[in-house]
Amino acid sequence: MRKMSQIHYDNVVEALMEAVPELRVGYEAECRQWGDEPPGPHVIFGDVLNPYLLNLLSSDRQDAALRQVFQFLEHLANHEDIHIQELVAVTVCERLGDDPKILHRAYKYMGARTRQFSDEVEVFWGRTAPRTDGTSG
Amino acid sequence: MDENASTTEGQDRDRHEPPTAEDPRLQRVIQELFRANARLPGGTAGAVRHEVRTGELVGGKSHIRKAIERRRQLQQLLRRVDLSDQDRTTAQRLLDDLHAALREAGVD
Repeated sequence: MRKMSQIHYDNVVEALMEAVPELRVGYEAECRQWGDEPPGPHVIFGDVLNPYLLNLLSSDRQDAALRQVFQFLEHLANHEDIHIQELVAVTVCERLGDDPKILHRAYKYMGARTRQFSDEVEVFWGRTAPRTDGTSG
Repeated sequence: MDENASTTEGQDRDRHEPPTAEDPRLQRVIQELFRANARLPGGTAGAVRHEVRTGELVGGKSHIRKAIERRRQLQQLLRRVDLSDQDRTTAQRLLDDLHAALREAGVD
């Protein structure tokens, strides 16, 4: 996995492909649809990573693959660039929260910062009440 | 509660009910834009409006960049994909909604 300092918004998709090489075929297929104009990171995280991740979370015995994905997401969640954090929060965590069963299973693999983002997203959309004890998760 | 405000919220909610599409790429965009079981209506465009009107973000994080990138994807879909008339109308409505929300956020 790339070091945090080597990841920037304009290469975060390539970092994703290195961390989760299983996504490359889907990524290249998406890029072909776009021609010369590359899709933005939110599109790749949403349209390529999210379906893969939801599929893993719907399957049994995918621990290694899930740990691989959530480790990378935690890496990004701790990045200093707020736009990179937004990929985790408003594209990935939001989608996981659409299905309470999926979200519950995802909690097992989320790092602390990713879990914090997930909790914030659920409050924002009104899918859960804000916690009043100052903690998240 | 202010009756007019309630009516406006109801209209907003009706206007922002998630559409559906025949085209799988457009349907995937819709699934990414709209949140299931959410009290806040309007999907990503609604989130941008909410952020602008209330100042409330997602733990300091915004939906604006996501909206910009999805707007570009819808423009690309409308240019490149042979959509049915109904899907084209749906994509154009989603695009117009994101445009309007981003304009409200001061983004052209």
